[in-house]
Amino acid sequence: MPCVLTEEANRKMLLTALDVPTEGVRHVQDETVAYVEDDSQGNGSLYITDNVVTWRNSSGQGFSLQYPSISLHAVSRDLNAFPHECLFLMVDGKLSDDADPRQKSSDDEDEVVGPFEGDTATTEVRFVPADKGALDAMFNSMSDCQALHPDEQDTDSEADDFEANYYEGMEGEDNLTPEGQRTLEHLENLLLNGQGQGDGQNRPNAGNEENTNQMDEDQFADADEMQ
Amino acid sequence: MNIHLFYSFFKSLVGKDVVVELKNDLSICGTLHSVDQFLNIKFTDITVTDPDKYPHMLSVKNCFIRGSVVRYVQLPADECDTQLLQDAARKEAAQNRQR
Repeated sequence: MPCVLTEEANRKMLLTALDVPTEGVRHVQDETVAYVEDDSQGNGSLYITDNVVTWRNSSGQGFSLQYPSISLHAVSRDLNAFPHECLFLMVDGKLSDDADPRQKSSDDEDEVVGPFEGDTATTEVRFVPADKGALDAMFNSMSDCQALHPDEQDTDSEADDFEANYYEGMEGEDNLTPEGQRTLEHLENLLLNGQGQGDGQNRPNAGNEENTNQMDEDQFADADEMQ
Repeated sequence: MNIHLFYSFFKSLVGKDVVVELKNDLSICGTLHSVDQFLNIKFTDITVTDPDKYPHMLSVKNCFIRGSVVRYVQLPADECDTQLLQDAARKEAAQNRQR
C-alpha cells in the first residue's frame, strides 16, 4: 500500500517518455499546460492525432489518451469553475498505473473494460493553451478524431451496410428544427417503402436505390429462392 | 434495435433540449446541436443536473459526448410521437428479419 504521494512524485509516475507523434496529426498546440485532476503537469505541447491524444513536455515526458477512454470533451470558458479557459476532458479510468488510495478500482487497466463499467474511476484532464483562440480548433479536431473510434460492441452488424449508404459525419450543424418533422416523415417513408423521400441532407440517390432494390427483392422473394 | 433508427430520430431532435445520462451516473442537460451515426452527441448550453458531484462541468458551454458512454437520453415528451416510433421500429425489425 503506497504512502500518500507528494505532488511531484505523483506527476513523475503519471508521465512517461513519449515520442512526438508523426502520423495522422490533426492539430498541434504548443505552449499548452496540462492539468490532471487539478494538478499541473507543466508546460508542453498537445498533439491531437487520428489515433491518440498526446501531451508531451520539452523533456520528452508526457501521457497519451485513447479516444474510447475520452467520454466527453468540451471548451470551458467560465473562469469561476476553473481559473483558465481550457479544453476539458472527462477520461474513463486513471492515467497512472498506481492505484490512488481514494479510488476503489477493481482493475488496473481500463482498456479491456467498457466505458464506466465496473468501478473504473473518472479523471478530469484540462489542456490550457497560451493561445485561447485555439480552443475551438482543438475542440473540433478532437471531435473529428473521436468519430474515427466508435466502439466495436456498439456496432450492429446488420446495420453496417444500411448506415454506410445513408449518413456520414455529424448532422445538425445548421439548426434542423424546422426540418424535424420532415426528417420523421422521411424515416417513416423509408421504413414503409424502403426508399427515402430525400430531405436534401442525405447521400445521393445512388445509395438509396442500392439498398431499396436489395430490400425489395428480399421482401418479395420466395423462401426457396432466398440465399 | 437498429442504431440507424435512433440516429434518424435524434437528428430530428436537433435544437431541442434533452437530458443525457452517462454510464457514470452524470446527467447533462443541454440543447442538442448535432449527432452522428455513432450517436456521438454535441451539446450547446449545457447544465449539469448533479453539480455537487461534478462542479467543474458547470463552466462548460459546448461539449462532445462519446456515444458509447451514454446510458439514457431523456426526450421531451411533446417531441416524441411514441406511436410513430413504435411503428417505425416494428417495420425495421420486420425488414431485418427478412434479410
